[in-house]
Amino acid sequence: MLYSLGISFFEFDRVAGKWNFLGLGNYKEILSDKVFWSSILVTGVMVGVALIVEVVAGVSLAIFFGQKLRGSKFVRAILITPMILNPVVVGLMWRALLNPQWGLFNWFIGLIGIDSPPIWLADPKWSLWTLIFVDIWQWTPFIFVVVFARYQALPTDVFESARVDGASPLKIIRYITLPLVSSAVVFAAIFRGIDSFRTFDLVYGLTFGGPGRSTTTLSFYSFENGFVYYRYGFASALSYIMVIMATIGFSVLLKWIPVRRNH
Amino acid sequence: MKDKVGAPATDSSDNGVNRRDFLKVGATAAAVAGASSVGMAESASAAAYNPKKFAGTTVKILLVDGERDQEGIKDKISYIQKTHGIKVEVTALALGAQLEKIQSVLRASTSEYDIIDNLGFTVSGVVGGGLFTKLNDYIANKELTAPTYNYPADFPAGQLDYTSRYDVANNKFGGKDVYLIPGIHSGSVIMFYRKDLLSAAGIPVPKSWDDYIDAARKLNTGGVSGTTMIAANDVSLILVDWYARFASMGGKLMSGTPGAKNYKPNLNGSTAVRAVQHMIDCAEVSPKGVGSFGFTESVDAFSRGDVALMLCWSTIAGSAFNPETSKVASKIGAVQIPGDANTTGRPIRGGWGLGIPKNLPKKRKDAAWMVMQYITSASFDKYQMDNFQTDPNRRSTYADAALNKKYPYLKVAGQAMENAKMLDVALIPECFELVGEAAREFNLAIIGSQTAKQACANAQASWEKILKRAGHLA
Repeated sequence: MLYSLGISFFEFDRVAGKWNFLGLGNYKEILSDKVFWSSILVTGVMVGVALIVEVVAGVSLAIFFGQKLRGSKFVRAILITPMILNPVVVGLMWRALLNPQWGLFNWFIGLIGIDSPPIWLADPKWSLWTLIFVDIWQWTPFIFVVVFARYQALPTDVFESARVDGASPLKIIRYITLPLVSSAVVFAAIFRGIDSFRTFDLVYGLTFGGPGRSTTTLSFYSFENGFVYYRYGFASALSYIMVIMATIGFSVLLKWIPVRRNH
Repeated sequence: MKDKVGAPATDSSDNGVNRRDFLKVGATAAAVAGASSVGMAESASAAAYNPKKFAGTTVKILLVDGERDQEGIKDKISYIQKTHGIKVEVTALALGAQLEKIQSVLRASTSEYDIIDNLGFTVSGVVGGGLFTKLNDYIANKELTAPTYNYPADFPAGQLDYTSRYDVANNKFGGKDVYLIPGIHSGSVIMFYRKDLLSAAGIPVPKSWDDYIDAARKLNTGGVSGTTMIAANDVSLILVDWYARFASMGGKLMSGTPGAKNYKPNLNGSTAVRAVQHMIDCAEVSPKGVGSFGFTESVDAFSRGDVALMLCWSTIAGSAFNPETSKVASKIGAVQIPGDANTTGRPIRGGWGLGIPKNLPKKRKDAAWMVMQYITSASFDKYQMDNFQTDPNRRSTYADAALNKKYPYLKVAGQAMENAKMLDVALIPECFELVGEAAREFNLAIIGSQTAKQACANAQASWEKILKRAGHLA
């Protein structure tokens, strides 16, 4: 950590094999770099949209599977499969599924009457939404697993009392289930939010940041500068800006979302 | 056609080699190399060369993964152990990881690897940085080098000036000092076409870029696309498709020199715009979604029989001639890429160079040279090509009659290697960054988000910014 902080003030000259001191030069360059600002927007949209959908879907699935329906164990096992796949593999797999020539995804939506689907990965209007869709597909199970574990550990007498008192299923969810699982939801959301904020591997496998810069996230931009262009100092400075952004962002979020209720 | 800024660029291989010259050179080289067709080790009796001089040592090789380079060496590990007494260990990493590993290994106090394979586009950064051992003394030493090694005669001259010789003092390609030996594979870009479709439509094989787009439009019927290309946001968009058009149309990518700080790109000239526009026109008669096509998608579409014309690295698309992986293997022809009325096709020069890190003790360097000599020998070059269809490095392999019978594109690939042109910006370490920026802009033009002119103007601005930052342009 300290080493990378140190080199964020330098630039590496590959031919001479030496480090040149730049002071705050890398940081100044980043702040005046258009790609940095567009990457913030891409990352922000990705974190915001993916997180909201994943939390809503994950919590809903946890409550649904908490009803102990027949065959739910089998479905649950299938449901968590995407989460255990490597994101680069997920990216490459979806790249094949979304292939405009022979991809299974377009064939499937053709069956429901959409004959001219978009070119998901080559059209800047769709590429980010496709990336978000795949992220949701892969990571909703994570929210589900965490919330489901908490839900299973809740005392059953509270729910039984509510039913005896005549509370409807929706009221039970609203006034009993959600408050009791909220700590798990916040934990899973923050964990997922940080993970989503530093999304790199999925972008690498699926879109490589394109077309244009439409799916270039901050992490991918940092990777590109560090490991494709060998601008180690610039990439380190960018990573430190990300650390600062994440620390501030999630500290504010933790203050804003009450995990424990005092009443 | 010439670009606004002047005459076409030159490099050491600028004098095109015609088919007859190529075969003549290849036949001579083959005769010399033929003496060693069963391997360097068998030449032990000649002169004082002793392949077992460093028996008992271990040589570690770092290669790139995904290009089948490691396969031939792995096959020959026991052979090298038997003939040289040297144990060989091979590590193959994905391109990005390999490039990163090379940077750290070469700057460590002692290198972890004894032989490292370097991508041509990175040579200026690593060899120019003085990080590899000069090989001239090894090549001249009769005790350490077999008399049949035949360096430099058996290698295309342009390839030697790209992935072998380097002028470290002046930081430029070529010169007299040898730091790398071309290998494990080289390669350039050739044009693949469907013989049956062109013949049925009565269209001759395109010789100019105008012919190419005309043919692609006419052939774009009946479920077959006229052409395909690498149009994804990928450096290969520039290296394969755009540069083939640009250089063959007479374009000159750069003017000035980095040292004089006047190294200026010519990306907004008429030739650059015309080359992008040609790709946009081709996209209209390419498979749907070509804007996301990399190598795999393009070669697969061609091998499935969905495409009539394609430009590609022969080392990658050679598999289209293999009936096991191609539905149209028997219907394919291969020729040099098109040119213009006053220019001939000038594909980009690709390939790798094997070198011995400078930060090794002498004994390890010597042992590494023995192994490196074998894996860059004529016999190994033929073995690797025949078994894994990677493009060879030696003229004798390109001209080999038996291999040409088996792989009909090989002769064409050999001619392309003789005529290929090095990417101008390969001589500065920022090469990948520049190519990546241009690829991004041209990809946006191909998918319809901007015009060819806008894409070229944006790429020009990005390149100037990068070159100024790096101190190559005042």
